Amino acid sequence: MESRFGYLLIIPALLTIAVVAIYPIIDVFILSLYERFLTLGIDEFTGLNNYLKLVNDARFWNALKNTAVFTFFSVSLELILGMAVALFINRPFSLQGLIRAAVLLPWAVPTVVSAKIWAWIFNTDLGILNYALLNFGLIDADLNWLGSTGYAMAAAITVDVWKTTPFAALLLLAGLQVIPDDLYKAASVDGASRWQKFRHITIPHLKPVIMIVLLFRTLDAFRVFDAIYILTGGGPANSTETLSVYAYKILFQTLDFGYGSTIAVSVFAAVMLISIGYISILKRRGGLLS
Amino acid sequence: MAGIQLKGLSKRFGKNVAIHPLDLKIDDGSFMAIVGPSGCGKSTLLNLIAGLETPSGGDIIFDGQSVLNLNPRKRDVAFVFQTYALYPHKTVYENIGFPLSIARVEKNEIDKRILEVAELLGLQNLLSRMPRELSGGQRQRVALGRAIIRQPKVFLLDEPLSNLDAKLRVQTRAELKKLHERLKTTFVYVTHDQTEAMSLADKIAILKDGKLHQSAPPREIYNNPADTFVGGFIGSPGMNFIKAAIDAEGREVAIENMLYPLSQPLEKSGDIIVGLRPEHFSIGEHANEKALAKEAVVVEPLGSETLIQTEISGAQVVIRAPADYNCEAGDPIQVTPLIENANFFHPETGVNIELMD
Repeated sequence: MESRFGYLLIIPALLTIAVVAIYPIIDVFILSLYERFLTLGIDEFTGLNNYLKLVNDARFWNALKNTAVFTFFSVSLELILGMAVALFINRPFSLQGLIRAAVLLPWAVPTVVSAKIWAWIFNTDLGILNYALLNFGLIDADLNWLGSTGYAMAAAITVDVWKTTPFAALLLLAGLQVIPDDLYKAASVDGASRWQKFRHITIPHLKPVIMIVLLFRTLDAFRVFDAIYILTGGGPANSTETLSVYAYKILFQTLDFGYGSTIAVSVFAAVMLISIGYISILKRRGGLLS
Repeated sequence: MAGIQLKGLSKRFGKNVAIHPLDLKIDDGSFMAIVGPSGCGKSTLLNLIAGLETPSGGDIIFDGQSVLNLNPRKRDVAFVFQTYALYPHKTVYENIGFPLSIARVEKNEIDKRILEVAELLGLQNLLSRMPRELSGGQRQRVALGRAIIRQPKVFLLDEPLSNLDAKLRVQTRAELKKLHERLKTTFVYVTHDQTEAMSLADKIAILKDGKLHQSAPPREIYNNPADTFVGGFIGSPGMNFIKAAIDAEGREVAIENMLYPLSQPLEKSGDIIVGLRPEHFSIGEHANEKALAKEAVVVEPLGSETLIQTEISGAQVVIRAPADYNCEAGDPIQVTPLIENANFFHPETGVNIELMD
C-alpha cells in the first residue's frame, strides 16, 4: 500500500522526464530512420540506410577522432590542473576566500563569451598571444592559431581547459576538505614523505571524486559544441569538427534531418556507453554510488 | 627509550597563547599523564613533543639532545589518536605494517613483526579486515599496534580511550597499563579524565589555560594539590573548599563558630581557604564538641558509598559516608572536619600555603 503510494508520488517526475527527455530521444531515433530534406521536400522511410551511410562516412570518423582527441586531452589536463589548483587552495593562506572565488571565475563566464575572448587572444593580427610571443622573441612571425590545422585543436582544448579546470578543482577541493587531518598527522609520525601522504591518503580518499569529475567532464567534453563552433566553426579543413558540430551542420545548415539525427544518435550511444563504463567502475570500487 | 625534558616550551597561535612557557621533566620509561579540562592546551603540548607543531619558544630535549629541528619520524615517537586515524583504505595488516613499509623494511621482517604485534594485542583474526569492519575497541587496538610495531622511543597517546564506551574503557585502561609495564617505554598520555590519569600514570601534569599547575605523582597530587584548581579537578568528587580564618599565632582555624587546633602551626593568619577531601569528614547523628550541626541537602547512595551534600560557611560541601549510612535529604547531620588532613589555600590566589616558597 505504502509502496503504491510511493510510485504515485514519483509519477509527476517520471512524466516530466518522459516529455522532455525520453520523447525527444525516441523522436530523434525515428527521424534517423528517414531520409528527410526540408529544402528538397524529400521525406521517406529508409530503414537503417542512414546508419550504413554513417559507417562509410569519412567525415564522421574524422569527427569521432577529433571528439576523442579533444575529450582525452581536455579531460586529462583539467583533472591534473584541477588537482594542482585544489591542493593549492586547500592550504590555509591569507586572502583564501578571495582566491577561491577568483578561481571559479572562468567557470562562471558563459562559454560563448569565453570562446569569443579566446578567439581574440588567438587572433593572428591583433591577438595578445602573438604579440606576447613576438615580444619575448619566441616566434619570428605571427602565427595563425585558429587557421592552421596544427594549432586549432590545441587552441580549442586550451579554451575548454581554461573554462572547466575550476569545476574539477572545486569538486576535488570538496573531496580534500573531508579528509581527516589526523590521518596526515598519523602519516607524518609514521614517517611518510609528502608524496607518500599524497599517494596513500589523498588519492585513495579522492578516488570517488576523481571518478565523478571524469564522468561529468568526459560527458561534457564528448558533446562539446559551443566553444568549438565559436572559435573555429569546426575548421580549418574540419580539423576541429567534433560530432556535435558535424551533427549541427548537417541538421541546421544542410537541413538533412534524417542523417543529422543519425549522427546525434551516435553521440547519444557513445555518451551512454561512457556513462555505463564509469558507473560500473564506481560501483565496483564502492564509490559514491554504492 | 628516552627521557623527555621541556624547557620554557611555549606555543602561540596568532595572538592566542596556547601554552605559556613551561618546564616539565618526563623520566625515561615513565608513564606521564597530562590532564586538564578541554582547551587547556594538552593536545597542543603532545603535538609539540611529537613535532607535529612548531613551538613558539623554548626547547624539547630527548635524552639530553634537542629535537627541535627533527621531524616526527626522526624523533622516533609513535602517536595514538583519539580518532585512531587508521588508514581507511588499508587492511588491519597494512595499517599496522605501514610505518615499516614506509621505512622500506624487508618484507619478511615486516610480516614477522606484524604477527608479533597482532598476537600481543589479540588481532590475529582481524588482519585482513578493513577498519570500517571493526568495532571501536578493535580499531583502538589496531592504532596501538601501528604505534608499537615501530618500537619507538616514546609513545604519545591523545585521549586514546575517549571514544570507547565506559565498560570497555576501564578494561582497555588496564590493558594499557600492562602494556606499559611490558614495553617499559616512555608513555605520554593526554586525557581530560582525571580518573584515567590517576589510575594509569606514575606522574601527572595538570594543565589549565596553557599553564602548568602541578606535576607530581598521583598520590601527592591528591593529598597535596598545588592550588584550588588542582584540588577541585583531581578526585571524584573534587576537594571541598571552605572559607575559614586562622588566629594570629597560626595555631587554630575557625570554621563557622567552631575552633580547630592545628597540629602544625601555619605562617599565616586571617582569611584562608580550607581544602578537605569528601572522605575527610566524620559524620554522625550525635553532637560532639567539634561537630557542626548541619542538614543533609542531597543524599546520593552510590552502592559502595553514600555521598551527602551539605553547606558549610556558605559553600557546598560533599561528604563521603559509608554505604550503609542511613540518611535522607532534610535530615539533621553532625559533621566534623578532620582538620589534620586539610590543605590550606591562599584566599585570593588559591595557592597551597604549605607548598608556597
